[in-house]
Amino acid sequence: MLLYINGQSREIPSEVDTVQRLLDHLNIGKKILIVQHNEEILKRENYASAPLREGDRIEIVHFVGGG
Amino acid sequence: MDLWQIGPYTFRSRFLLGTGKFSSLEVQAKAVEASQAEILTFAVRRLNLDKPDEPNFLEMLDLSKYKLLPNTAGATTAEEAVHIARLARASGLSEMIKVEVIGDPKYLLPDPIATLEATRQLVREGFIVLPYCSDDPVLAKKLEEAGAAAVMPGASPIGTGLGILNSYNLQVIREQARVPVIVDAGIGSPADAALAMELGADAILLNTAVSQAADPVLMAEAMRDAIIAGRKGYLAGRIPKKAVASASSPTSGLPWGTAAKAE
Repeated sequence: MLLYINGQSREIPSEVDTVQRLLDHLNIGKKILIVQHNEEILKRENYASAPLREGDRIEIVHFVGGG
Repeated sequence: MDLWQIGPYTFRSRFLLGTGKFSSLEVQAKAVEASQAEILTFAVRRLNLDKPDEPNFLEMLDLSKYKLLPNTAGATTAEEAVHIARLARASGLSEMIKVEVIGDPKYLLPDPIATLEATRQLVREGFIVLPYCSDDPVLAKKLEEAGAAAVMPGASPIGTGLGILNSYNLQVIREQARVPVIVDAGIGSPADAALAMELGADAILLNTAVSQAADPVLMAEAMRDAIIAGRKGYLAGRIPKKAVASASSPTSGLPWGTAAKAE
């Protein structure tokens, strides 16, 4: 299915149907991250249950150096 | 022991260190260690999905040793600042947020109105809010009244290294604040940091002064020492400035001359 991740469209296999599966698919499951799914900033414990749908907008952010 | 508090947290070190613009992770790690800072700031940005394994400084840290202070850098409106703060808090790593809402791209001066609005909203949402603001005493007071856990007036614009441009205002802010005053932005040399502490600041937040110094690790040590020295100088009570000289050595008992005999 087509998802918009960090502002870019990506084709993701249909079996990748939750946020947790998406993070694993992108090989970032172990990183310190924050995920926003459409309008909602997700709690970690909801990653496995948040279902992905065609056209969903995902923001995956993390902490970088800054003052 | 000269401890201080931000909200519910107690700290010994009065050196808050920014983590931006270091030349390498190795230098950064050594500088952080040398600083003995207990609070580190970070920005919130999209993960580069094309390079997900790029080393990340936060992920290298022993998080039990530090309090994280995420910032809202990049926000130009109160709404954007609030959004970044909510993202940062969702990490589960920190309840603190440095509100930074920039109103001008050349001088990176904070937008006072957006900063106050964002502070009010984030205080309502239960954040421990540390707003970066201009050195305006009225603004600092309003931020405190809005519930800010500390106020963070700038010494001079971000990254300029110009040191303290308005010591008068910083002293007024210090006099009137009932929350910690953390001088944040524009520090360039250890003397700047020491002066800010001598003016009564509770702590210093700096980034560029260390990360862009020729020897960041040595500069981190110097800043650590300067902040400690400035704090002691403040507590020790300096002598007043006088217009005329006052001898340090006794004026009598010089080994020459004879006094007239008593009659």
